[in-house]
Amino acid sequence: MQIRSKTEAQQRADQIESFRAELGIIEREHVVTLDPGQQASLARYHGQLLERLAAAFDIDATNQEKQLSFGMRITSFLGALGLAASVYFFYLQYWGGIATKTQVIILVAMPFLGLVLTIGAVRLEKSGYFSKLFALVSLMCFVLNLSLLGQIFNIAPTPNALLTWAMFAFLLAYAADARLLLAMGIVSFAAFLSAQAATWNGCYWISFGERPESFFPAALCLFLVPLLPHRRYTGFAIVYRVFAMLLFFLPVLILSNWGGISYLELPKEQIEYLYQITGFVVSALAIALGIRKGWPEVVNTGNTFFTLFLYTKFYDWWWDWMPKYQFFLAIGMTAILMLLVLKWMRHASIRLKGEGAAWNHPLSPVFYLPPDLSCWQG
Amino acid sequence: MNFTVLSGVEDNRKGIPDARLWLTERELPKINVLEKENSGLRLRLAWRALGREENDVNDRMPFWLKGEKLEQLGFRFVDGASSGNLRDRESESREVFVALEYNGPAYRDAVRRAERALEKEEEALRANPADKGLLSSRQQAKKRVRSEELTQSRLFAVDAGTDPRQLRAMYNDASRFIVTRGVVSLTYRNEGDRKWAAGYLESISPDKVHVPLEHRLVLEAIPPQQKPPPSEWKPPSYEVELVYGNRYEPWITVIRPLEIQ
Repeated sequence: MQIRSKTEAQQRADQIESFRAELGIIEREHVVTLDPGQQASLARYHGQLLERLAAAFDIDATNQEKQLSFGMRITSFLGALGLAASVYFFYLQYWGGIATKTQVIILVAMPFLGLVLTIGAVRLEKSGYFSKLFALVSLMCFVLNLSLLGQIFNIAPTPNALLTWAMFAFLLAYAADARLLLAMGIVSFAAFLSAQAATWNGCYWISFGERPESFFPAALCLFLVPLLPHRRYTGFAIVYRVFAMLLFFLPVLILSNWGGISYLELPKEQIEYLYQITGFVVSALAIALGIRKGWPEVVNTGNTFFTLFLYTKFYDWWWDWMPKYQFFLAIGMTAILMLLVLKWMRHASIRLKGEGAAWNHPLSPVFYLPPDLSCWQG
Repeated sequence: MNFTVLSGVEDNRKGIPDARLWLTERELPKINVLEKENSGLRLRLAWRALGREENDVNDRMPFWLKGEKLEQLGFRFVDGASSGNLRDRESESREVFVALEYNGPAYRDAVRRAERALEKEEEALRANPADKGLLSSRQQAKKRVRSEELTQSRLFAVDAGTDPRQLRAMYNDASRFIVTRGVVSLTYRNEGDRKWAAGYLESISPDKVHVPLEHRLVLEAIPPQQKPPPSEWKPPSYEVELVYGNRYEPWITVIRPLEIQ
């Protein structure tokens, strides 16, 4: 099996750890006992594999290492934020005393220097803590670059700056495998595309936030991006899908309550009904799609928004009309009902997968379970 | 991207400037946000507009920004509709070009408005000399006239359009008129139960001008004036030659001290 990313390597290492633990239990309960030769070759094989993975991807072989890594990730993140803020304020502190030409040279050189440092760190350090740190500082330098060039030369603000920041953030995110930078790139790109959508509809670009429908093209684009293969990058597809769904459902939620800010030339009430229906239908479809494709983030986001749409409707219908205890009882009962429906969907999905697996793989354990018991798997 | 930005700057500054005019501290006061942390210095382009009402002298809803003018700027609206029939579209805004007039009829009109307000107050006080409220109002009106004459900006937004060349052709004196980008939003004015569309001039862009180091040194060399007593008004201490290029982006070419009169 070819392992391309740190995530895949970590998954394989975790799998080995679980296998060893399970094998220990099986042997203690005398279900199967490997002979010393088999044990030795298995231990050698796993040992060599873990060594190779550690050398190539700097994975965590044990739980303690994982906890340490988590701490290092937090430290690296805080360090990057601190350094980025420090660069920003350092430049602001002294730029007034520098001649214009020197200001421009420094502003142009800083992001390049950051990019070179990031690429160097990616090559020299497998864990990626330093590369991510340099990447964030580099992005800050680039943001500073365009915003201060704009100030120095009194240039009117333009949405193209957002696109350029997004491109640079994507470049750094893919170079350093950094989800934080990917999220920053996505936010900038979504702002750019939404500003363009606002301009196409005749509005001033900065006021794109006042028209929630401006975010729909960005949501669609971002949802389609992870259809391109992203296996080498840790959790990138998830980040794209979550942001895409937020950029779709949040505007729909707003428009379902304040139809007056829509681009649609319809009476306010009709627009609100339209978006209420859209919210329910699309969130339900997202749950179904997430279950079908095995995308838990899509299921969870769909779930969250389906609940939000439902509760805002309940508020509209019942808040003034019902005594409060009845209102909250209704909320609680609905949550229980939804829980039962989701549980049923989960079992149905597992059964479906089990049948598929049994069909495709004759050695699958599900193959041996009677259909009514297969729901207890997983 | 940096190449695009810098070539845009080059492009803006070559050829015949779109506007070249001398403004004073009244129109370009210093701003220093985060003074302790930011060593950069910028001047704020202080602009005003004459409103519909006699007392509105710094109104963002100029009297000329209504009806046909709003239609020319691309807004769609219904004038005189009853309040209930209108969709809530107050936030609709558009990027336009704005003509700013320096020290012209609009400014003189603002001074006249202040003087008329003072005359009214004096007349009321003559009819009722013991009224302390009227005494205080006359004092305020006097201050307003003085401030119009000595400290208030003389830069007024006088027109707006979607085509900057058309606007420049109408206001062709490059030493008195600036054509710059701005943002207008549509709002409604209530009269009884009817609503009338009105334009709100949100901003001009850019509205701040960076002071490069060479000019900053001149500005800092201007001796600080004696703090005037509260009853006196501080006259402007410097004047700036501001140039607008063919991309409607400004820059400073000269800063020099002004003699105190």
